[in-house]
Amino acid sequence: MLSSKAPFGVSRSEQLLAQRGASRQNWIWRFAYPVFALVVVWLMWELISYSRLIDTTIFPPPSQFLRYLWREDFSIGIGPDQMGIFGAAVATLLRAMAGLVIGIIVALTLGLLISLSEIPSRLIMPLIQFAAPIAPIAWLPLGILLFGIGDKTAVFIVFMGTVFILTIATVAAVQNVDRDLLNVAASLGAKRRQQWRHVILPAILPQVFTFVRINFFAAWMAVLAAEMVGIKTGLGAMIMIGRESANFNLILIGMFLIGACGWLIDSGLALLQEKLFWWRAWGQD
Amino acid sequence: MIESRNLFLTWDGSRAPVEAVRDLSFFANEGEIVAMIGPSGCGKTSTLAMLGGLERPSKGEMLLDNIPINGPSPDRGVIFQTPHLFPWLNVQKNVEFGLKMKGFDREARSRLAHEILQYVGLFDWRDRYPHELSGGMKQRVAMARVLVNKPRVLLVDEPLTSLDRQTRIYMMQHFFLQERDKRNLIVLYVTHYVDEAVLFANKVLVLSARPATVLEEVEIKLDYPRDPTSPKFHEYWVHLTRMLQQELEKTFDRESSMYKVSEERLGAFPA
Repeated sequence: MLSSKAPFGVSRSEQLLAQRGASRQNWIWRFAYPVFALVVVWLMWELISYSRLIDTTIFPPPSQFLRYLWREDFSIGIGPDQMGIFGAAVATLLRAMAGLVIGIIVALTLGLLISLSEIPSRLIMPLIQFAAPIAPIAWLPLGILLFGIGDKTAVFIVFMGTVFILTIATVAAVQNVDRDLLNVAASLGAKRRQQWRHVILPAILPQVFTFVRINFFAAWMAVLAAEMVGIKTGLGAMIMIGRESANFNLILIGMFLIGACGWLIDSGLALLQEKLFWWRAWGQD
Repeated sequence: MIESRNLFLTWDGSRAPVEAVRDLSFFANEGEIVAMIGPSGCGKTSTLAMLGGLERPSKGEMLLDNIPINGPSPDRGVIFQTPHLFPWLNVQKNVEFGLKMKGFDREARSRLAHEILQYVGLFDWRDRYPHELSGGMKQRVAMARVLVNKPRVLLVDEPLTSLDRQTRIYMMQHFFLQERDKRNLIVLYVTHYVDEAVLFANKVLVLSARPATVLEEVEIKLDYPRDPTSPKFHEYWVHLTRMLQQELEKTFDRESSMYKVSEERLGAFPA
């Protein structure tokens, strides 16, 4: 943080530029802090395990379950169920991402169409508000019925779990677009269609993307739940295999990977938001 | 010539309709600068918004060269109180916005934008984004964004109030007067500074407290450059300030005990 007092003769813009430069130097710290926090928790965990306060066969510390992973050649399960952990992580990620991307596209389209005119919005919005609170996992039986057990069902669940909330977010974002900005565009000669393309869309994207980030977790959890209950592959399935074979190492590996992947993806999305849709943070005047 | 004939504007209030503008008529010729002064909240901004085509009058008509105004157009450039730049576009793209809407190709857009950015002194800032600019620079971008469309009429809603007085006068001189001289522009300028109205305008419209109507049209028959220390200038100032004060007292329904313009204090000149 720069001190709020600007040196005499330094304009606000120069100050802002200086701040930008400073933040570029600080990006290393962005990783230093979380890594430090993780290392501290890890060390404490190991300490507690070695002091025999907890049963390490039920709750193995990282040194133990990671060694197990290494010994097993990074693959788990036996027979036809065997899979590499990277394969499992990729499978889960792809499902979550596919569902989310389709969800975003449909939600943006639907949200913009609903915002276009009043009667459709009055007809469709209640349906969406009705469907939005249904937990993603509640769509599982229907998904299995429609698509059987497999990738399609997982994608379907993520899609259903995110599309309605994102649609509501899109409609709300359109309503929040600064009227003055639209007036400016109109008086500069933007026709209605051009206003949608050049003002409303860029104005709502940052806000919608924030919802995408929040919803990513919902999608991620929905996939895991689906993998636990029905689909026999992916990180969620890994935990279930661990449970069925009373392999606590496996359960903890699964949990560890789920957390790590989720964190990485969210960091990636945050970075993407900063690079692509940075303007919301600066406000409008 | 831009003209408004018997304009009325009524909003649907939450309890009762609010009458913002009542029977407002005036005209402005090519090359004329018309200042509108009036008590704050009297409907000056609404009048400008109607002329800009951003608000529909409840009754009456507005004409530009005898053609009815019914919607916004880049012919009538609006400069708002705050710059309202598009935060996702850099300075140059902001300036190019109107040209892009009209379908100019990239090369022509860039050439015209560079020209106007040099004129407002922001050429070196063309790749910056609005959040990197100071308030005054943002307003200059907003002006460049309007001027690049070569409007016939400029509708200016006290855009420079956040700037200090010297800068404001300098910029008005630089942009509005010069543009007017170059292209015979009509400038409609809403302000609450009486002395600035007298300094720039050919004609000052004194608007009443809400509902706004034209109380008086005062022609300022002074040659440019105008001398704010001349007795003639001061006469206009006293007259207009008095009218404005009477309207204010009507708004608040009591007399001002702090501020009174009187003939006896003719020596005390506005700063």
